[in-house]
Amino acid sequence: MEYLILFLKTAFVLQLVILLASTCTWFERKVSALIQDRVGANRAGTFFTTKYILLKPVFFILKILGILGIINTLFCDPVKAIFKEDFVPEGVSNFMHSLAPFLAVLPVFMAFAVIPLAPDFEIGGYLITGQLAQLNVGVLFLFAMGSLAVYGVVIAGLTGNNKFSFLGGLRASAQMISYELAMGVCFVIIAVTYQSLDFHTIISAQAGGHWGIFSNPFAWITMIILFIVGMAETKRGPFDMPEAESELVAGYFTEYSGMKFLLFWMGEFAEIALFSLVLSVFFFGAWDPLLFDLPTGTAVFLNLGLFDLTYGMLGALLGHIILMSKVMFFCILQVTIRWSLPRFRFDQLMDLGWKYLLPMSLVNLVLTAAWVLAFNSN
Amino acid sequence: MGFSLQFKLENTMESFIFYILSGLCIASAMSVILFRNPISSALALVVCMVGIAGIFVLLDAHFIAMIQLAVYAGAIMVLVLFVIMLLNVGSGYEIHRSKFVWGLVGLVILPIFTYLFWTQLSGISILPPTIKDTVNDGTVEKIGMLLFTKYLFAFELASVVILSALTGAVLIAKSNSKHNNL
Repeated sequence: MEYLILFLKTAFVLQLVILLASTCTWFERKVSALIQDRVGANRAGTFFTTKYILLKPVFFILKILGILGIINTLFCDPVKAIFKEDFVPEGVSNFMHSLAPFLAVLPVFMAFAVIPLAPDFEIGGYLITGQLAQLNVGVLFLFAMGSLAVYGVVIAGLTGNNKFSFLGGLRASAQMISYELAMGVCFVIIAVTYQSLDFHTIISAQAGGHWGIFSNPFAWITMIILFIVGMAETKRGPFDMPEAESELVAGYFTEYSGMKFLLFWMGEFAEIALFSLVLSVFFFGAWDPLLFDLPTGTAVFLNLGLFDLTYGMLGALLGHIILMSKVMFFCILQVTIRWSLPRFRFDQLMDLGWKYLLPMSLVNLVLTAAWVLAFNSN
Repeated sequence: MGFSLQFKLENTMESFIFYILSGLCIASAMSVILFRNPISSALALVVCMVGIAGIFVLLDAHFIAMIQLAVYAGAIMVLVLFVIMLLNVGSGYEIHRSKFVWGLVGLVILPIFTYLFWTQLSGISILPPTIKDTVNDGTVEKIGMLLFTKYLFAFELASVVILSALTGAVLIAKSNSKHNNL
């Protein structure tokens, strides 16, 4: 039974990552369309409209909501990508060329395993924890996965066997290594603030409206630094030099097509979702709704025949929805910034990382530590 | 692992994972020196580091496992790959070697190392109780306390060594750029 629960949780987290990545792609299309005064993806193929009577209500609801275009990113794009011709450039090993996209998505997917996605609840006597793996070094695991994510782009740049992908790979790896430092310092600040590296402790410390962003006056600065670092780590927004389409074709994934290209794409959007999730967990109380308390306990709320819906399960469901709406908010914010701001120059990017963000986060660490020592220590 | 290394393996699942991980480590460590392509070698070393991190997890040393992943598998190996990329040491890089001479060298070295391994490693338990006790339950907190109390001098010394290396790197980079008139 424990293994079944573990299996179901793994499946849930995997589908959630893929769903978040697809939804972010759709956000990207819609937001870019809105900013450029277009309509954007707003229709789907005839499959949903004519044939299957069972799918008609889904189609109807999506059409009423005006989000019919989401079907494209959820179903049509992957199918198209899988059946596309796979191209491997001459003179590179096929294995290495195929390895790069997997290395680009694997750390992001693994990072989702340690982040809680819903409050703990009980079902049939089994305690279901909201995260896949409860590590007491969860934040460090996140950082380790962040540093492993560089391999995908480095190998993609190397196995492209042309100068565009090589330059893109170099730019991407230099950028990710540089911004990792500020990210590491931000994680240290988080550890100092909550005096723990365990996500569970971090979230329970914020329960009841005591969000991390209100915990000390410097949390705002940490949040903004981590947000900028997150945008740079995902190689998006004004930081997309590695794939600068006007100079480098597509950067490190120039030579990738079909599903391999889609894996890079998915990894990038999953990373956006990951950073949004991390921001909401660290600073915005994860599933804490701020105004009211989530229902807990094992008292029966509603009898559904098959099983009883308890207050704890209702709280978990509500908490998950609240957390996901926070994640969606940050995803849309990142996409909006990406489509509003022009691209940096590469030396400006390096300056920002090394001369501004890193010293700022170090000063912020000292200030936060002093604040915690003076007011919050027990 | 034919030596009398004493691991505390509670059940078969744990020992099963241990043998998979150590097999992975040994195979990837061999691949590091067997691959001709430097990039493949570097990647094999990454796999080896990740395997070692897995063994640390089995030993309940989660903190060290994460540091192993972030520092060795993450930072250091990325720098190695970066250097390979920048120097552009492609797969064409190959040492001309006479198989006979190297085979002879191998034949001389192999018994020496075998002897060393048997004599040095056979008596050692790889899991001294002190590590288990200090690292196991507290991980981060306990390691932090130990670093800032018992091992403070070594900790500070290490930071001074790293600082001097950092200064040296900056100095070398500076003098180079002046030379090239950039």
